Amino acid sequence: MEHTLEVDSIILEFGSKRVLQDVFLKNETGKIIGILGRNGAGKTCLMNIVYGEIKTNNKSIRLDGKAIFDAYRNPEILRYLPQFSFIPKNLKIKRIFKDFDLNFSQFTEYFPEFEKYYNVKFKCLSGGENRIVEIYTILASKTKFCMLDEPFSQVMPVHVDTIKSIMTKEKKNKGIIITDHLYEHIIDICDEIYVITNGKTYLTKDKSDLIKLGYINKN
Amino acid sequence: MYQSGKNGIYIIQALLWFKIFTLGILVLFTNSYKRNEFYYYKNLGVTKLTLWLPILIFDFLFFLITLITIASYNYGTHP
Repeated sequence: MEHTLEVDSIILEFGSKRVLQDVFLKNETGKIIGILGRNGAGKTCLMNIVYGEIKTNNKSIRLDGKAIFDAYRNPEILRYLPQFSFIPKNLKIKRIFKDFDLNFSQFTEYFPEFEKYYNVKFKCLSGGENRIVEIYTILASKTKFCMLDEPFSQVMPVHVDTIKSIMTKEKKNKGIIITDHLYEHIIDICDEIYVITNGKTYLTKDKSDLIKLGYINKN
Repeated sequence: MYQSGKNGIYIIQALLWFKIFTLGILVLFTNSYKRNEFYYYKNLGVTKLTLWLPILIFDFLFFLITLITIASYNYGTHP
């Protein structure tokens, strides 16, 4: 079944500074959308607002046309990969896969080098390996939409390609929202790209729009 | 005898308030120190309140039962 997630009417202010004011995002099952923007533009804040982690007076988040509040209370609708490590360090890999109802052998088909880690604690893995487990748990678990904040950072290029292929496979069952500064991967994988500038979202068509909006240089 | 019982009630009162205070400190410290890890449980649909409530109830009840047991034991053995 196909689902639509719409986000608009968001106003976020920190004191007198207005960070987000005219935001519109739309995602649907089968689509990957990317959010780009300069540091401090409000990408992570936007994701946190959609997830219900940051409270604002003005926001409208709708799933299939119906308003949803505090999406984090319902992982079947939305899961969120924050930009920092979020899995408790003392948990074993097998416990993590059990909690998220995931198949470890499917995971090792993508990442065979993880086979030896099944009974190992999360803290025993390297930073990059931790990130791969985190990305996979959010990306492959059962949900209608998932938001990934900087999924490609800390991950080596070979695994970035694998993650991109998992995304392409998983988007058949869910909508995916990504933000990352490795914009070439975003351009490569996303169906639509929004850029946040001056608190507003702009739907871009190609790389020239990213130049116009001041996100990348001409050269 | 009466005086020692009165002091005991004061001590129990002070201990109860101290326990409540330390539980408050524990919640504040853990919420700050483990802030990132709460996302793991949120992604599983478990809220902070769901995590905290059983822990706090168990901890406080364990303290209360221990306190009552010790107090009643001491009261029973005193002349």
